[in-house]
Amino acid sequence: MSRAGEDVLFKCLPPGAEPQAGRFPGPAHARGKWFAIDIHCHVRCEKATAMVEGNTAVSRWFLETSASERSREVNRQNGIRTRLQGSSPERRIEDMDRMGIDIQAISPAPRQTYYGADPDLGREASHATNDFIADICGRYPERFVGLGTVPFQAPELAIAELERLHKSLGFRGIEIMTHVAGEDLSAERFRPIFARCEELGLLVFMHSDGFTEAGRLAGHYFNNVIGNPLDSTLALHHLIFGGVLADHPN
Amino acid sequence: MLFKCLPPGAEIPGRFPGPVHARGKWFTIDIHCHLLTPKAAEMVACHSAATRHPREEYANERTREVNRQQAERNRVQFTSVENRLADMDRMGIDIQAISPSPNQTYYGAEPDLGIATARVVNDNLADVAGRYPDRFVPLGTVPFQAPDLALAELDRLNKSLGFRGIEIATNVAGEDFSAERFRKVFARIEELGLLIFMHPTGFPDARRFADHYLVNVIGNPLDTTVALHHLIFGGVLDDHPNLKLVAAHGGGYLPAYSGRIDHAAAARPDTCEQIHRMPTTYLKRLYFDTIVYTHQQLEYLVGQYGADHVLMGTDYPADMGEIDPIGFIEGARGLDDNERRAILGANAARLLNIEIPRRPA
Repeated sequence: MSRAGEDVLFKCLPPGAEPQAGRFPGPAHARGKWFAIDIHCHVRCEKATAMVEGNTAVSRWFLETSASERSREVNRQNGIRTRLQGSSPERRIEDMDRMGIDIQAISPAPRQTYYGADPDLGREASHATNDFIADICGRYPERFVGLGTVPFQAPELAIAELERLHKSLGFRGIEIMTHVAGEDLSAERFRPIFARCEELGLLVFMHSDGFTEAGRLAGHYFNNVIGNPLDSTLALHHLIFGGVLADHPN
Repeated sequence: MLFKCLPPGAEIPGRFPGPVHARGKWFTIDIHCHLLTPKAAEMVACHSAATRHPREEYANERTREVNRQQAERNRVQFTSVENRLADMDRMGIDIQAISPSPNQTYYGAEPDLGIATARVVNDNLADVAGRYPDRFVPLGTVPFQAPDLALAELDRLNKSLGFRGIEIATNVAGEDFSAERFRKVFARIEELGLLIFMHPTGFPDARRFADHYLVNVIGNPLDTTVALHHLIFGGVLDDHPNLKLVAAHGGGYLPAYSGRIDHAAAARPDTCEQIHRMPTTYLKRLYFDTIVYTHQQLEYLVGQYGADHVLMGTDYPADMGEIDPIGFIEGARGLDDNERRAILGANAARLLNIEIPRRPA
């Protein structure tokens, strides 16, 4: 439904058509002018996906469960379209070269943190994802830096995985979600994890996965458009007002 | 400086009335201030659906205790007209555009109770404004939950009571304003040229907001944010381009992060199926109050949306309000006096059709 002379909203373009908003890779920039590190970019670990397949309690994610049928359809199409970009480091390097990105600090696709998994599955999926990221970084050490994941839902296992990814895999940071399967990050039981992150000097990259109570955000892809910044907002409030940042200033 | 307990009677920072400003330097209209109608509160006392309010529902014990103390402390300010006038005189406010205390929209009430309470609230506002017509302009309420009754009350408050605007909440007992059944209410508001002051009533799904008063701190700007998205993407503002809508608390989070909605509309087909222009086109038609606490944010709103789209507000007499609105706007060094004049009163005068009194020569 569009009228002549109106603004350019989303339009369906033929496959292969020239750049469209939100489609990677974007326009070309030569490398070398700036030293460029992308702190926010994701890889998808197919092995971890396979481990949780069929386990809907784990594989479900808020962006998916709260979305309208129309949005799910678009998500499916996008999933197919970006599959190679999510998993192939070679394809990724091609895009980085075009866009002028020297280094990607790659983190797991947000849904792959699997905080809803039971502890053992959580640990195994984290292992697989971290090993996958370590492998990419090992093959192209000058182009990728790994941000891992730890099973927050099981703090002791999370601490063990923190040690492993830092000491054995050499990671200097992790990705965390904005809540742990609905539980806020300020909960007492997560404190040892933050204490250990601080001690090890790891960077924490916090990424949201939609909002948990998204009944009113089903249409118009609102649980991403509103829900993602909202859940980051909420998590930051809990980290601040809950005293986590007061107790762990570093 | 965090909140400190002070002895009874001591002046607590952040409590109305704020510092003294003489009237006359500026013509000032407060677009965001509330009046409580005790009679309507009594009418809903036994109706839990009508009084359900996230601010109470999602509050820990400590917050409920603070809420009780605050309600007791500012009850007089919420209800007494004479106390209110004294505070306005002290703070340099010429006119208050008084709207119902936000929880008095009672959208959760049965239709009959909803229309009855709306009438009582509107009659109370009309009475106050009638007694001091040069100091108060009323913004009424209509029972959105029952659109036909809302239409009738719209006509009554405009034609019989002479109201030039209404307050609306940010959802109708959980239902969003983009729902088809509300369209005729918006159509009539547009036709009558009424101003809409949109004020949040907290976020209804606030399980994770119970601590630290987050149900208000986040929930209020959030619910405004959600409501504005629905009005834009749901096509309400596309169909009713002449609505004059003022969003409270600086419009919540959306005006500061509006790039995301245009990006979404360009990147995803499922976002923009009910609109014909880029989403920020509609956002730029809206108006925002000045309850944003920092000059940086105020100047950002003015820079992005224009000084003619920003209106002075206080949230009187609530504790999250701005007690020194004139000082706040005078102190914003990025604004010039024409912009200050517009924000302090001229914009509201234009939108509410209020004649700006001529200064004595």
